[in-house]
Amino acid sequence: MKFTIVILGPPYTDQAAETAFRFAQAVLEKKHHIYRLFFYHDGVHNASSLLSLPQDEIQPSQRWRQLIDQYQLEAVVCIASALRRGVLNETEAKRFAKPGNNLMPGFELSGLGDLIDAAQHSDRLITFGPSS
Amino acid sequence: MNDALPPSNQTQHSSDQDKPNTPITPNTRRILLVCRTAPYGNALARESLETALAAGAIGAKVAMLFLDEGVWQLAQHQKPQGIGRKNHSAMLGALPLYDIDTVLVDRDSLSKRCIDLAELGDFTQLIDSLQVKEVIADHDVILSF
Repeated sequence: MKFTIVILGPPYTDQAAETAFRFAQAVLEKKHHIYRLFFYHDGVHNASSLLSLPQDEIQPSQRWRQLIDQYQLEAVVCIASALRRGVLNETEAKRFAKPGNNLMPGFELSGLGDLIDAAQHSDRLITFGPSS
Repeated sequence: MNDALPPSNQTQHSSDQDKPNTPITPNTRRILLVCRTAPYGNALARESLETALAAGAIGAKVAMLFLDEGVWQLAQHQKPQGIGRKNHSAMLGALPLYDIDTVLVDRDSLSKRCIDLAELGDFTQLIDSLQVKEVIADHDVILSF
């Protein structure tokens, strides 16, 4: 079965993104496919390479990256949500004349069309978060 | 046309009342955006509208359902400038331009909040709580905000 996982929750603050990660892992371990990971709303912070948790804690963006690399997943971060929240790749950092960029390798910035495309092409689309 | 179909398709056609009888292909998958948060105080409402317009722009079949605190998004005369936010209610008015013709509003959520029906734009349709379940069951993909 083809899944798309939509992550709306931020790292660390609440449980949604952690649950999304474990769900993604379970999907892949059961030999299903992930059509796309889509990070939207506060979920875009999961793609920040600047997340710096104490060493004995989970490093959320690092761990997503490992999963993305291991299974060659497509991980899309909504560009509009990301720019508003300060998650930028090199191109966007240059465009807005910012002093640095922080999009973790493995993730890509793209538009909401990719979310709709995923809704149209996946057998299941599962949303995690936000907290409320 | 139906007569020409082989017998193996019979079972598929017997469930016509529940589902459209065309096979579900990517372009015919029906997407429902469920909007449950107030227009301001959190960016989620705005981002659900942006999703709706993006979906409409690429010709996806999209409906919206406003429930719970989400019904406040439909209130007229929003003035969020006082809290440092941009007014995004005009995006609602653009929905019909993006061919999003099904904008459903839960009647109970409105009455619990004493929102006057006159506040709603004429592009909306009121539904009862029982219909909410049907609408959710009737769509192929649910995006919840």
